Amino acid sequence: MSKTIARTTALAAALSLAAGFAQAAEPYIAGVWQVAKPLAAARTLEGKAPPLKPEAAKLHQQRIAARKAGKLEDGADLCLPVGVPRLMTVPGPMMVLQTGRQISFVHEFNHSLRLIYMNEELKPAADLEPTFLGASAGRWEGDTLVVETAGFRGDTWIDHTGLPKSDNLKVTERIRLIDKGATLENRITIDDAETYTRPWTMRVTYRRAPAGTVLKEDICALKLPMAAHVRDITD
Amino acid sequence: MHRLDARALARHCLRGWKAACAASLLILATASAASAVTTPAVPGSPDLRDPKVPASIPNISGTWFTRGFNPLTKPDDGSPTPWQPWTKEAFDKRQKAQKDGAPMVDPTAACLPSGIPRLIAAPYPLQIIQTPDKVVFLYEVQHLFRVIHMNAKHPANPGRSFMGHSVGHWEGDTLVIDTVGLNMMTQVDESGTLHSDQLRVVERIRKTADGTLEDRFTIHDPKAFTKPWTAVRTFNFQPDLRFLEYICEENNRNAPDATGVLRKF
Repeated sequence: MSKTIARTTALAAALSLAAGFAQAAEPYIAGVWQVAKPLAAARTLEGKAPPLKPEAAKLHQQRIAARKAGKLEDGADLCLPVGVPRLMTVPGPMMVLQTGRQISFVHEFNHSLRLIYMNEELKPAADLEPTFLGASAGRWEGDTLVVETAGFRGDTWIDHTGLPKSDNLKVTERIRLIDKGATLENRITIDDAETYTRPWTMRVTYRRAPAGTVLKEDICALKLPMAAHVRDITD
Repeated sequence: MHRLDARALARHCLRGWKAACAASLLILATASAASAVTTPAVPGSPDLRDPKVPASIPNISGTWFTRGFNPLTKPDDGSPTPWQPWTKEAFDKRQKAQKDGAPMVDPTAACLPSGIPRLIAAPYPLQIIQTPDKVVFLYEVQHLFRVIHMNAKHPANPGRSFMGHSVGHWEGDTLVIDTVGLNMMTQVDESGTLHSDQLRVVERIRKTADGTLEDRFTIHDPKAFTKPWTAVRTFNFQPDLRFLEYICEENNRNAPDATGVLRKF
């Protein structure tokens, strides 16, 4: 009996030691980050235009023209979530909170939250309720945080220009520290056979925000017409 | 399913200020705490603590869900709310307007944050994430967040915002949060308890013996109340509860229109 306990204790100790090492080996990406260069339009790693199918390319051109004419209806102007990956390209600080169970991306922009559940399988797309930000599952592969996201609604865009996506989009992000920890790199793979001729990858980098950077309260709803009626509730 | 129903109902309640709605919500929310939709547990700790938080710091991290909802926030000791005349008058006016079927504008109907302290009572899940120098609260409702700066001071001019500026420190097992710089676009509660520009909220948050979380918050506002008063909200630990996507702007069924008229359901 005591031998079993001793063995179990030794095994538990070894396991927790191994777990401790595994945890220590995980990079620490917590902190406040800021997009290094605001993304004007998504490009492939090779710097080329994304491989849109003809119909999607037509839609994209219509949106670009509408934006130019000031007539593009952008969900961001209505305070709706901008979706993934567009949220990962917005200006303004992004606070990363790191725990073993969950990695959270807290954006100043429209107080947007993305919760990445660690070490679990993403459910099949059919089982996910379609949302603006999709459902995300994450895991560490060596020095890289791999985040898979699916379960989207069709009415958000890949980027600010209105680059189209379907609700069958799957996004895989590979996030890691580079430049000795001064930069966070996110390689974002877009897998959407309805919209693109092949999967393609874009790259976004983030720099550490200056020490003491605090996320401001960015209440988009204050810009909506209805907010004008509640400037001071005691009036 | 209960949880989803309760939350869908809560959305309408929060926007619509309907007493009947709130009463059913109270029942549903209480029921849902026991039968919530959960996903399979993730192996390992249910905590939400940054690995760099020292083990000596008390642990209140995780996913929490209110134990029942009541739109009225009042003193926990059973005493009446120590109104100043104008807050009493405003409260009565709001109650009457609601009874008459023409509720006055609630800022959350315009998708504005419910702010502190009203957010403490929200009938939605929240997460508490502990980092070495901050405690961060994430909320399902309106995807809001709050940052508590630990062992820090308020800036000389904290400005005015829905969440205010919060500093915190530990007193034994209790997280004490001091919040100032709150704006005038919020109510103390859903029922229509108002506050002045002097509002200061001091929260004392701790785990109780039965594993629930307790937030005892004291309202300091001499312009709105004759003396400080303390209310309590408690939360169940629900580590496997997942946030649903809450987009107020998409479904403003009871929001005021461009002329300020409140639409009915």
